[in-house]
Amino acid sequence: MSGAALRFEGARFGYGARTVLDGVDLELREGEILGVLGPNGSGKTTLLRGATRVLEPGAGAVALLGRPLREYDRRSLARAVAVVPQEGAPLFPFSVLETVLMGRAPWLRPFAFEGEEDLRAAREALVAVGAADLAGRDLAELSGGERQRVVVARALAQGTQVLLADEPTAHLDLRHAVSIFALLRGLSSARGLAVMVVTHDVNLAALHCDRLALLAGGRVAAEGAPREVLRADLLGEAFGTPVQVEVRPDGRPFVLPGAGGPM
Amino acid sequence: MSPRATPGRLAAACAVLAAALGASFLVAASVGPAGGASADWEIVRTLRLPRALLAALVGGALSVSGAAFQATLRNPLACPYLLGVSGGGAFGAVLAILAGAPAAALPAASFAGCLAAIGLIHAAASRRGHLLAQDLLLAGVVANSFFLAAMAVLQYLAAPHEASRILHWTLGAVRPGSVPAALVGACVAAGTLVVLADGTRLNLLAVGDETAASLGVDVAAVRRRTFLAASLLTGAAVAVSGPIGFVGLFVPHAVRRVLGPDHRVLVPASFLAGAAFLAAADTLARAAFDPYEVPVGVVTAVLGAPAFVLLLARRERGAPEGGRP
Repeated sequence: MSGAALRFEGARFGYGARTVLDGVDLELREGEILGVLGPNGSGKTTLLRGATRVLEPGAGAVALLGRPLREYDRRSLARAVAVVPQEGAPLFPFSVLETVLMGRAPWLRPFAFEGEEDLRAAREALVAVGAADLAGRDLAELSGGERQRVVVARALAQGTQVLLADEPTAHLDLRHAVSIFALLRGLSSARGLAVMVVTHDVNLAALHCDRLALLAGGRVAAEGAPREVLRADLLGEAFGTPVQVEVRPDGRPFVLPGAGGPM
Repeated sequence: MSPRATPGRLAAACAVLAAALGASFLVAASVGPAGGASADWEIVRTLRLPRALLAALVGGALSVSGAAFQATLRNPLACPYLLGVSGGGAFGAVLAILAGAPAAALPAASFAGCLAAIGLIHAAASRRGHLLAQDLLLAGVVANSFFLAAMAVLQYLAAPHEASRILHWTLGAVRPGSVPAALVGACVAAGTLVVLADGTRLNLLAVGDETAASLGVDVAAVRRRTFLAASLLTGAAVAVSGPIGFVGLFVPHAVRRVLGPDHRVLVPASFLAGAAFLAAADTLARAAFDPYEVPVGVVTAVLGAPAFVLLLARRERGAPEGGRP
């Protein structure tokens, strides 16, 4: 087994008295891309918050790169974990390069400007996401798909070993959704990044993720290779709607909504 | 799109704006009442320069305050004039006027009003360690309407000579000598430094709370200290000059259009630009209709409002023609 970049052990998360997730045992391994699926309100975003110390576990523990998460301060955490959040356009017209350079913030001293090394990291990140030609553009004038690539570049410029993405393909058309997943897949295999993607895109996750975790009923209902998790019985129960699971020619499963059966 | 913020760009912007500030001081020093001894060094030294210096401090403070409020509250309309702090300061001064306090006591009363307003707004917006932009904004706007309404009632009920003092004070004017310039300068320097030190973090807050948090920013702490620093700047400015509108809204927007949104450049540049703008506006206020002095708050609004509309119209250049009247 390669090392665990992120490990939840019997973790419980909630808001005040309300428990959202309990008994979470889950591992994100180095160099893998893990898809987190589950119905709305099943705790997918809560899991991400638990991984970034926005929420502290009420029970159990979370470890990041072999160290308990609570030993990290904000800055060292931001140097270890990058997040691609679901957030709209910024208030003011920052350029694409300025946006990607923001990923260097955890490495900057107060009052400092980004130096040569930061600029190199930002440009390299833009190349890695295939958005080098956008560097001079205003972020606000990009399409949703372009903007999402830039946000991934910002996370890359952060220079972390772990990348968490919160529904990175929401609102994207088919082509851009495919390309974002392919990009994340490539980053995990080429750079050894540990990538955890929260998504509703069951089929893209099946296609691009090494492993999947299905959250339902406040716990991890299933975890494993895509064909182990994407089973009609598990999904039907988790989402409360009948589904059919077929197998693509490449052996990966794909999910069709509806009861199916003979015509 | 403006080029990226660098130390060189910051230095160049500051050099140009400092020259503008110097020019506005020169004009302030040489413009006097018609037929007056405008070359008299004694008048320049004891009257005109201290007043220009104070106007510059107030303009710089309001502009930095506006830039800080806009970023930390994630709202381009945020400005010291709208957010309760300035209203609280005016209310404090009005209460002091009604209590028969001498003019010398008004800055202290106004500053106390600002502090009370800050405490109120902060307490109303805080929720279990969280401090959300929209809560602060709402609390500030609500507090401001309360103070304005209360002042209107008090002014209506006041005796004529008190009502005229209230009107005079609330229109805003730079009044040198009412507070030691060093005290105002210390407040303004402290508030500006706090905002300046958070330049990178304010950029991240302008993108979003989640983004900022994931990049290592303690969002609640930065929002709290930026709010307090911006409020202190507002309080210091209002105490010496009464509420002066438009500077805090207009200057950061104008600077942002030219120099870009990066707060590491925006904040110092806004200070210098606001200082130059208000020193010039104050000279205009005292000299334009000599021997009558126009309240400088009226000058900034009369100059600022059309300039702001121009700024907005320029931004909509790409919009379809039918979208504009």
